Parts: sequence; structure tokens; C-alpha cells
Amino acid sequence: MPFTPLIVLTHAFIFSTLLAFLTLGFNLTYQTARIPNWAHGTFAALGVFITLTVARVWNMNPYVSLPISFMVVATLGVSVYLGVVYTLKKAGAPEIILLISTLAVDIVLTAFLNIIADYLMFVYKVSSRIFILRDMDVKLFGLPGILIVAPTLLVVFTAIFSYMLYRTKFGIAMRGTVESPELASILGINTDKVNLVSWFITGGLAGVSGALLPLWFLSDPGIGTMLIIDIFAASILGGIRSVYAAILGSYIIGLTEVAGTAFLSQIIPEVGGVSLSSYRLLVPLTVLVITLMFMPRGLYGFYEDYKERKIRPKEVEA
Amino acid sequence: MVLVFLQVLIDVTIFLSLYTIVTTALNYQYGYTGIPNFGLAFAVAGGAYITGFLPGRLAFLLIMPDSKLDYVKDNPTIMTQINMVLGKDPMLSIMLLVVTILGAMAVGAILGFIATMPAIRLRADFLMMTLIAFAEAVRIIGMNYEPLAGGTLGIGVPRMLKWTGLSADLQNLILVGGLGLIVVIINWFMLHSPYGRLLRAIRESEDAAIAVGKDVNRIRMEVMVVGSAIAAVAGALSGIYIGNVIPPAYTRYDWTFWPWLMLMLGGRGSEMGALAGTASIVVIRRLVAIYKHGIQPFIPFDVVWLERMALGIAFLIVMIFKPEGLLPERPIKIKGIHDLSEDELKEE
Repeated sequence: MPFTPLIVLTHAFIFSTLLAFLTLGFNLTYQTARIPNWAHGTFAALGVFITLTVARVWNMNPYVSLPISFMVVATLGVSVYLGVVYTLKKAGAPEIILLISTLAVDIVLTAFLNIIADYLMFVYKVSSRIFILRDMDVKLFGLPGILIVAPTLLVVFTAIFSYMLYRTKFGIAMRGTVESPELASILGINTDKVNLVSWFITGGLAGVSGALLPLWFLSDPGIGTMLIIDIFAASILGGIRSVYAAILGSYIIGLTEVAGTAFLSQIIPEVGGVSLSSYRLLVPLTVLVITLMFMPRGLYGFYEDYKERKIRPKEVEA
Repeated sequence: MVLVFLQVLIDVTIFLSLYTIVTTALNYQYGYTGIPNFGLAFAVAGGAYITGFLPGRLAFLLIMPDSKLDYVKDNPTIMTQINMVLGKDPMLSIMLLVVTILGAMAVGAILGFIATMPAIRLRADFLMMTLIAFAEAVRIIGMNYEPLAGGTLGIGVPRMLKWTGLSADLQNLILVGGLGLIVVIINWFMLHSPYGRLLRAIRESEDAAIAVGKDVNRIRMEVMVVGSAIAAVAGALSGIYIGNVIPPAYTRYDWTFWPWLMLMLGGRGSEMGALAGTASIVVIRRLVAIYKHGIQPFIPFDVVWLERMALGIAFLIVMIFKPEGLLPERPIKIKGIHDLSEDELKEE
């Protein structure tokens, strides 16, 4: 595709929007279960393959896979929580084992997706490695469908989510669990149920994001291992403690990574024999390390400090 | 038949030695000191990349100083010529080998230092993220920056043991197996000493170690640097054994996750456990890799994925039912306290 600023920005915008779904869910489970879910990128990759099956095997509109993908990946999220995280916690496993366990889940899932990819290739003769479904996308108002559907869905989901979190009783229980699981369970909140719901939502969001991904980007069974780096960086940059910060972080990472490298490669076309854009993933990695070094609470940390100063200005000065 | 069996045996032994070096390093870092090093792959990859970069280029400069060939693009031609000379020149070969191993250790140590500098004070989960990210960064650079190790296509490694006249398998068996043994022995003596007990003390209670005047952050950093240097030797040896360094092959699955699985399966903090875990998984993996063609026609996908899935699930099952591993760490026996009989203890 020829280089024009508009196309690059479109790439970056769609990527950031899809990343925001993932980071949102990642932050949610990080806060409730207190562990980073390594398999989160691969959750989305499952959605990618559901869309591929819907579009290429069943020959249906790819958007049909949205509800399917939401439910399937949400169920996967719940099963991972119940089968691995919950079981290990009940068995008294230390934190480090919990951290490794989702890595193991990631490996099992990636292997499973590769099996599906091979199966689709052998049995249905569908190209399932490094594929793109941009040709299957519908046109809405003369624009590619995903350009409208993805941001709309993000707004809708964020609105529903905020309403749930701040206006319902369950939302209060959820925020209580985030603040202090022990205290919440003393007050009669069923923290296991809160966890279960958060893994369900997380899975669902990852499913939606994954279902939309192949409509614009090259996809592959191993895409989850790439995505998880972006998710981490976005989550840490925004601030792991806030949902809205996750969205902000996603857009910053998405724009610098996709648009930044694209514009920079106009100036420096190649480094070490390959184009500069091959080093794209170094952007989130660098952001991740710098953020962890200098502001481990992320951008949300600044907001928290600002709020603190507003409430107790004198104390801070003193 | 016997020959095939011998070849499989040699292949399994070499991989066993390679992974033993890596798990030993991990046991030192995680089993003893409690640093969750999830970036183990960066040290291994660093060692491998320098093996692709250093010895071949040195030999190229020494043997063909006036050559107009491009080292990366004309690599196969250059390798053939270098190997012919090296086959007759034991001194140069040994020198290159020593430089390679030392270079790998230096690169491993430097990478360990860079990765640890910002991260060592962080909480376990953030530390884990930073180290994984760092390993990924090293791999991305190795995969793309062609002058380093040939990019995605890889680069040849000169055969530095050709002068011995032995078959390639035997040369590698002696080199890799020998170094593996040396690493295990040094590690055993290092950790069965007051130093080993210091590391365990840090693992069990950082605050207590600080209270008795130990500079915990400094010691943890040293452990990361030394451990990474050890792991880098495995990377260098893998390059020498395969005869090529292919940067994309140094993934976090192969060189971070599998060593972790081996250590956790065997039992963290126990040398015998680390060996047992390594042996069982390496044997399974190599046998699957060698004999997968037998099963392949019957299933519509690559067997490798089935193996990954099975081992991932096996890991989860071990963590749920036997989290301390197959051969758990035993309490330390200290001379003068634990070998006294009960009467002697009473007298004291």
C-alpha cells in the first residue's frame, strides 16, 4: 500500500481502538485477581480464528462472529479463572506460581490455535497463517465497516461498563474487591463471584477485539504473543489502577507504535538490512521500561496526585 | 539400528547438557535467590548472537584479510574456506573457541546488568514484565539487524573442533557435555557454601537479610549478572552444535518457559531436582521431535503443537498437585550442628 498520512493514521486509529478493548479487560482482571493475565493476547487470537471460520468456512458476514466470539472467549476466560487461577489459589500456591500459570495457559492456547490453523488449512483449504480478511469487510457510508464499528463498540462497552461499575450494587462490590479483597470479603462481598464476572467481561472484550482484528490487520495464530506486549505497555503507561487510563494508554501506544514508526521510516528507511518498521515492537517495550523506571503508577498516577493536592492542599505543601 | 540409536542418544545428551546449563543458571537465580527471571531467553539469545557475530568474523579477518566478500551475504562461501583452514590449525581454532565462550559470557553478563539495573527493585509482577519485555527486545533486534547474526535467515558458525578429526557429533558431545558438567560442578560448590546459604536467606526473608547487614539489591544484581553469563554459555554452545545461529529460534518458549517448566517440575532450589526435571522434559521433547514423523500421517496438524499443549497442561497439573516438585529442596545440613548426636546437643 502506498504511504499516505491518512492511511497510516487509519491504521493507527483502528489498532489503538482494538488495543483499548484488550487493555481494558487486562486492567480489570489485573485489579480483581491481582495477576497479569499472560494469555490475554491469545484470548484475542481465539476471536481472530472464530472470525476466520465464520467468514471463510461458513461464508457468512464476518460481523456475525462478534456475538459468537464474545461468548466463546468469555467462557474461555471463566474457565481459565476457575480451572487455573482459582484452583491454584485454593491449593495455596504462592504469587509467583500464579504468575507463571497464565504463561502456561498462554502456551496451551497458542498450541491449540495452531492446531485449529493447521486443521482449517488441511481440511477446508483455508489460508490460516498470515491472512487478512479486509476484502470481506462491509462498506458503511463509503468507509470500511471496521472504522465505524470498532470505535462505536468501544464507546458503547465503556458506557455500559462505567454504568455497571459506578451505578449498580454489583459495581460497588467490584470496586470494593479491587480496593481490598480481604476487607470486601469480610463485609460479605462474594469476591469469587466478582472475579468470575470480571474474567467473563475480560474474555468477552478480548473476543470482540480479536473478532475485528483480521478485518484490517494481518493475522496469525501467534498474534497473541505480539499483542500482549502492546497490552502491557498500554496498561502500565495509562496506569494499571484505572479503566479510563487504559484507553488513554492504548491510544498513545497505538499511535506512537504504528504512526510513529511509519513516519520515522520515511526518514530512516532501513536499519541493518531491513525496514525500520520491523523494529515496531521496540516502541512499546521502550515505553514499558521507561514508564516502570520513572513513573511506575503510569499517567493515572499524575491524576491521583492532582486529586490528592485538591483535597488536601495544605498537607501536601507542608 | 544401533547407529541410529547412538545418534539419538548423542542428540539427547547434547540437548540435555545445553538445558542443564540453563536450568542451573535459573536454579541459581530463582531456586536459590528467588528472582523470578522470566527473561532467561535474553541471556541465551545474547550468547548465541555473539557466537554468530564474533568467531566467524574474527576468522574471516585473520584468514582472508584481503577478501572483498560481504560477510553476511556471502556467508556460505566464507564458511567453507574458513572451515578448511581451521581444520588444519588447532591453535587458531582453540583460540576462537575460547574467545567465543568468553565473549558469550561477557555479553550475557552485560545484558543481565542492563536488564536488572532498572528492574531489580520492582515487585515480582513488574519485574517479570520488564524481563520478558527485555528478552523480546533482544530477540527483535537479533531477528532484524542483519549484521549481528544474519537476521531471520541466520548465519553460519565456524567449526572450531574440526582439527580433532572426530565426527561432528562426537566433537559436540565432548564440548557441550564437558562444559555442562563443569557448570554443574562449579555451581554445586558455589551453592553448598556460606554463599549459597546467604542466597537462600535472601529468598526466605529479604528484610532479615538486610537486618544482618547484607546489601540485598547488590547481591541480587550480582546473581542476575553471573546467572545470565552462565545461561549465555548455553546459547553459544547451541550455536556451535547446530552450526548455525538462527535468531528467530531463541524464543521465550524454548529458552524461558521450558527451563522454568524443568526447574519447577524437578523442584526449585534442589540440584538433583533441576537435573531430574531437565532430563525428563528434554528426553520427551527430543523423542517427540525425532519420532514425530511416525505419528504425523494420522493427524491433520503438526505434532509439535500437541507436545506443547501436553507439556503446558502437565505443568499446570504439577503446580496444582505437587507444587514443590518431584525432588523437593531439602533443609540445609550444617557441619557442627546437624551432624551432632542428640546427647551432644543436650550437652551444649
